[in-house]
Amino acid sequence: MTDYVRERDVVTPGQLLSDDQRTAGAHTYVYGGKVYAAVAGIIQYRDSRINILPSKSPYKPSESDFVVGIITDSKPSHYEVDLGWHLVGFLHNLGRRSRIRLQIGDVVYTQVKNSGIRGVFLEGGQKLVKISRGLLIRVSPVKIPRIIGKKGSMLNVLNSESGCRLYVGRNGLIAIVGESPEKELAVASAIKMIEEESHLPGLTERVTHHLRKKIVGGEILGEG
Amino acid sequence: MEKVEQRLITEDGRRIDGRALDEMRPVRIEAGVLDRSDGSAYIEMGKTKIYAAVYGPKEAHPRHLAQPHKAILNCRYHMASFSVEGRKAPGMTRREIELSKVIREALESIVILEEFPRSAIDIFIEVIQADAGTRTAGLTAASLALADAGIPVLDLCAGIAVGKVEGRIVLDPSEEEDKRGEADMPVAMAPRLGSIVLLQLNGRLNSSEFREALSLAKKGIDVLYELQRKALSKKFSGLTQIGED
Repeated sequence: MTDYVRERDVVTPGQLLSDDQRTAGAHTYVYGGKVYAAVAGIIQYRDSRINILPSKSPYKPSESDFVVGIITDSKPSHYEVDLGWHLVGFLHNLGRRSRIRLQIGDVVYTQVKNSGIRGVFLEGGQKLVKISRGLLIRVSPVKIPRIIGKKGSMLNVLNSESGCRLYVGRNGLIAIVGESPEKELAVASAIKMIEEESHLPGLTERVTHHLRKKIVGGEILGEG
Repeated sequence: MEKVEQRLITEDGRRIDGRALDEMRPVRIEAGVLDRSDGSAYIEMGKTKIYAAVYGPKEAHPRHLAQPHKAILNCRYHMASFSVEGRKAPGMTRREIELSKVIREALESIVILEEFPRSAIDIFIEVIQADAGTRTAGLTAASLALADAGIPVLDLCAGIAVGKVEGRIVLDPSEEEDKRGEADMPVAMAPRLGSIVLLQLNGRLNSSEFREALSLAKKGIDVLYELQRKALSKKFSGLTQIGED
């Protein structure tokens, strides 16, 4: 096995990464048994696979991803859900006995049941959550792992510091549901901070500090 | 008094603007120059100045054009009305429509369209100032803008024109050489794939001249390709530490 790159190397599209096609990870492609980069980004090894972390990239749905979407159409057999970017998800009718009633414009949080050539199908069962209030924001899908953090560490900070419930969709949409708009906006500004400084170390501490500064007993201390 | 046309190549092998026969005009390439687009690039080759912007992938419109197994590319090559001497009508001319098509076809061979079924990727190439070689420079910028948008591609592609001027093969002809030369051949390649993605020829070349022109083009393309890679890598410089999953 020969790899031509190391962790944190910057690569550009078409660059040869490895002779071993089993190491092909995210944002790579295999051609003639060799692995090449499909995007520009930074090399990240995970489970002996070569992944590329781009600075931005369109979201590509895969099975069991949690997503946030907006109902755009209601048809006899299904709802159409806008997942941002180019994607429209399908959500089958929930049936008469369902606890949830959906309308055009509603925001939902659910899991991808399967995604393929026939479209993106969303889970309509127990996993479906209808979000009826809160703040909906959009971030670049590549920043989502950083917003969640290692084993959800960053999400825990955002949650415990603000008391807001966060619905983080892999597609880049995030619903923030809190007690007051001030707290929701504080979380939104923290997420914006994570997005901008995702490459810098010690981010968790800075996010904690940022949120504490913004939220003091539910009051917001002016801008900045 | 009779007007005497200036020779395009001097006795010591210098061109009208002082370049050697195999010398390109000064090039500047930048990625990520427009905030409102998903990906963008800027290229300057001598007096030629071009912006390229990429939007998408997004829903394909009209809906019936969407392909169930892959994305479609929409490409628009357009020259600004102030890009040429005298004013150009702002609408799409026959020439622009044709160039949009050949550029689209060149890009279709490098973009991994199967990644985004049922969607469309829009590419806009806007020539701000034209001084020969706009289709190849436009394609070079468009390929970089696609990579800047994070759209998976097999390789970057770069293009350059080669010309025949006063019987000599020259790299990257200027407007003057293009007008008064005997032949003009724009070439674009994806160097790592080793494939030619665009090749046109205006005028006549014999087979040995053609071979010489092609190898000269390859030389220019390799230089442009390195500049493209540098422009892309620049976005990541300073990012020594990156977010953990």
